[in-house]
Amino acid sequence: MTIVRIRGLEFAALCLLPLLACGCASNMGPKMPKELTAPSATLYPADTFKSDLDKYRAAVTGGDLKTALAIRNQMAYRVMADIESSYGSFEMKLASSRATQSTLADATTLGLTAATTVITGTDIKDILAATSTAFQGTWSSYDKNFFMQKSTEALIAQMRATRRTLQAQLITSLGTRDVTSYPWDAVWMDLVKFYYAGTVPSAMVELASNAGTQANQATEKLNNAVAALTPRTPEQAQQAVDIRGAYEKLAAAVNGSDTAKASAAATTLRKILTDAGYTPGASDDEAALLADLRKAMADASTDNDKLAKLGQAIAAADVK
Amino acid sequence: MAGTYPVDGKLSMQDLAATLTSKEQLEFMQLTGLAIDTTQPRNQATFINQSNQLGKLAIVAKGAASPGTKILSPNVYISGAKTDVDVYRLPTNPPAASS
Repeated sequence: MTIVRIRGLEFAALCLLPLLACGCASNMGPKMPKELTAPSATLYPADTFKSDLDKYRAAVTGGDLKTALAIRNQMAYRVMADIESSYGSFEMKLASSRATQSTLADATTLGLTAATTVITGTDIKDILAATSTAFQGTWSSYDKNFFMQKSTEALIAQMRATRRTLQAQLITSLGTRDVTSYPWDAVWMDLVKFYYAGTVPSAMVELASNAGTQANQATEKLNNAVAALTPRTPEQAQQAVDIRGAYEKLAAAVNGSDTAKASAAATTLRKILTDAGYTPGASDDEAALLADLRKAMADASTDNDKLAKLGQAIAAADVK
Repeated sequence: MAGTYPVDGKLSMQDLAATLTSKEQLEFMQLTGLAIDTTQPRNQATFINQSNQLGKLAIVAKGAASPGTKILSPNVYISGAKTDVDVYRLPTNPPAASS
């Protein structure tokens, strides 16, 4: 029979963790004043909204654009206030519920892990260890699938940033544009955008898009750095000129009709390439060796060490 | 390969000329344009393919005397400062000319 022994103090600690986690939700902010929580202060009932919209349309049709403007702005700010109020409580819930879930998950994992250390029975220990691993995997999967493993702070910061931008645009448009250039339907589209900016999926897309832009910028920076010309000194420029001069002479010999000169050029090319650290193929003919030299020159164009080595090999070959 | 390449904006006139010359000589190219990069303090050099060997490039202050043929008069970053310069093509070196 397996004997299970859990020490009293450790057991008490395991039991306390979930209690501590449950207590966290109420510590996220001060109690909201009644004036702010009262639905009458901000709530925009559907029938009032419909009635205002009818008044707005009648004013537009009747050519009373001043009244239409006043109704449009009043409706826009009431909807905005509703969205603002809902977003505030949503943000609070997101932060507290996710922290609670995370803390409970940690507590469960810690509890299971701690239990495996105080339990002497091997079978139960194995079962608890396996349960702990499975639980960690499930939690990780949940976090990955629902939140893309983004921190709550990052999501909230992104939502706030996008909302502020859209809200500023909205307020500016309401204050500066008349009902002809910015009718209620255009306001409505911007209000819908404003609402969606305060949702987790929207924040995830924004974060991913920002990361993508940053990655593109980094890639562009890297490409520019790779493409940049390697700085040279007048001495290195002279080496490049000498290498190119030798190439021209060897190419003339290889492509000429004098076979003896072509054969001598092949021997010189082989020596240059070998001295510069390349291994030309044993059966390479004159044309292949010339192509190898051109490749070595291309390598030297971005590498000062290779340029120096090739320059020395060319100088040693004393191409005439 | 023909195209436009960034060049460090902190080079001296001699080193900028040497850098452009090396590119021409080792990659069978010809400089056709040199200008300031509008996005950051560096230069952009444009090249086309060139199978014949060309003489070295020399860069001098605008209006200063130099042997060779003047090919460009750009405003570029020299030692980190925007400077008006003249780009000259020097006569081809005797060893290459004998081929």
